[in-house]
Amino acid sequence: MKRILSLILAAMMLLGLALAVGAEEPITIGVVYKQSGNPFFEAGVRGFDEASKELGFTFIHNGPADSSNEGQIQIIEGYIQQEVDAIAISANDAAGVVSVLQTAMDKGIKVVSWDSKVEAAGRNLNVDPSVAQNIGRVQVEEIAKQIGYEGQIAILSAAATHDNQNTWIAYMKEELEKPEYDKIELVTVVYGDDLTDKSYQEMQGLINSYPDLKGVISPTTVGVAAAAVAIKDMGMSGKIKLTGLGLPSEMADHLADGTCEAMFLWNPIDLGYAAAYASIAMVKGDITGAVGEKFDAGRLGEREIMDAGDGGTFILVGDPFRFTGENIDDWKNVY
Amino acid sequence: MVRFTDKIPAFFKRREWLLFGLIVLTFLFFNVQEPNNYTLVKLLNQTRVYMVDVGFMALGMLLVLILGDIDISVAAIAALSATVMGVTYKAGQGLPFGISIVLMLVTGVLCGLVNGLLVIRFKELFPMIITLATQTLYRGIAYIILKDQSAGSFPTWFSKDLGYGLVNIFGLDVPVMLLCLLAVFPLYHLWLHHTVSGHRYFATGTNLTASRFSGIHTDKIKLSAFMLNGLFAAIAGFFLTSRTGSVKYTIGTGFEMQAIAVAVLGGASTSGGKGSVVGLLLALVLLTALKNGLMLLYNDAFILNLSVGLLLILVVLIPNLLGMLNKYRTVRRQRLELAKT
Repeated sequence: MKRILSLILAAMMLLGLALAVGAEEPITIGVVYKQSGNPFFEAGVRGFDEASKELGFTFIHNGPADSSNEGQIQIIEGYIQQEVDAIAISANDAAGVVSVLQTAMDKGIKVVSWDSKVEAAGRNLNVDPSVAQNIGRVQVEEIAKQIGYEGQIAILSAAATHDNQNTWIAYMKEELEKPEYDKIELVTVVYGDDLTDKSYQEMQGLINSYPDLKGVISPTTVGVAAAAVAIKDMGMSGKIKLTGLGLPSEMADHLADGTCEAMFLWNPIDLGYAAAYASIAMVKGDITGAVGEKFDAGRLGEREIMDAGDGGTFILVGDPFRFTGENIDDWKNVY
Repeated sequence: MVRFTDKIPAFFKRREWLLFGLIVLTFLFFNVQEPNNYTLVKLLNQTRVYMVDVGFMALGMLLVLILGDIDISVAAIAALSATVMGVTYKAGQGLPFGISIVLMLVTGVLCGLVNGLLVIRFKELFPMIITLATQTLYRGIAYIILKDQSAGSFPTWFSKDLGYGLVNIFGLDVPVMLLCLLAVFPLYHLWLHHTVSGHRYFATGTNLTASRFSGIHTDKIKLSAFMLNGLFAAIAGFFLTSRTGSVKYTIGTGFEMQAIAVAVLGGASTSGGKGSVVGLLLALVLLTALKNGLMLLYNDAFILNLSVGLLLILVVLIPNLLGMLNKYRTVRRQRLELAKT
């Protein structure tokens, strides 16, 4: 009897031990994006969701309603308080979140920036959607083709503190230096702050201030959609060409009626998915964020970490895809 | 016969006790919900986010509210002052940082002076309308200076040691910022509640005409209140910038409402003559405890603002309702006693 009892006790203890090991807390990622209610980031979150089902981690996500820097800081402070294992952020101000993210890294939290990067001092790794130079180049090529390589163009960007847009615009200016664009004049860069109403007003301002304006590049999903509406409202459809980076679901109508002949975007779901895989690889210690390290990014395959040239490192996710009136029906329900 | 329900209003009339009770309840509620994340130690760290910049702003606002006025341009003053600091410092290429700070404080006082002059010069206009106008003016100037760009790259002592620094006191990590704020409270309390100079503000707010006839320069009092308010707004902008590390013209949007909410919650009345520094501190602590708890539970900024509104209604209305109930009971009892005789 005693032996049976002791056996049962021993078995129970073993079981308890196994349970205790099994009940290890899952990895938590705190996702921060530029603003809440933005469909681009909602698609990005779907990427995190997909990865979380494959890898078995949990994640929380939030962004400030007013796309402000201090709103993001408040969210990050909350994540630090909750002791998340990693923070994946698309920053509203590349410099503005460095201090708070450094305190996070001091506590052992891994910081991965995605979509719009954080300065190198405030991150472990950046997940770039695509080669920044390509993103800038394709948009200039597109608008040049549409306006016949001649005339005034303008850029309607997001916020002047958004690092991703700034980088692309720098490459656009570089591309415009080429001899084939000699007759194209970039008149101004305006900022809609990724707010629909401000972007709309800035677009109206462009139409009023530059009567000879031929084309507009808007490298942001909020901006390009607002610009299309403004162009239509002012009866300039077809007279002012528009291209940029747009979300198919938001731009379907504008592509179908020709207000925007063609635009670009990469897959935001893939972007979130890759950021999730990178964060997990970093939390597990598979990578540290150093140049040359490789990790498995699920269905996207293997990714290698490269030098970003700003003192930090990055990985690439995909290529920009060209959306037109012909192919938009295949994509408008995807993201 | 004294009934228990009669005692409640008298107890709750002390706003400070009501706030204190709510702080304890709030803390216990969220502590049960989030035992690992919502602890006193962690809450202390979060005071940086929820307490310091709004706290400075509320201190100035209190003075204006005591006079029966209001200033909704404070957040814009904070933004403009911080912009001046960022632009003159020019990431180390411009003026020495110390001079930039002085210029920032001067900007705050000047903005307050403009508000004050307008308020005492145009008595037929409500201060709310005047400061609504100057609010757009100040933020507009900040936009003209900076456009859509941001100014940053401040010295490390500012963006790191002040913004995120901790001091170990009796084993507790206390944010440097919080110590700066708490250092002001005793002085402010003594001045406002225990000196003749402080009492003049209450007198002016309670009865402007009577105060003027008793020899108080009420215009000077008003002017000084708006200037001090501007100074405090600039200080709030200073601490906010130390956390964000960069300035944009949009910085601190909506903070004026939080500052007003804190002051009113702490016992100030928009009709003037009332207000308490201790109450203000307790209201700040309560809002910090509540907002941080909600942030942990819901991870949503909308719910934070909603809760502040609900709390305001609760704290301002309940004592009034209980007081009315009490009065009604007394009257009924007296009538019954009259009927007996």
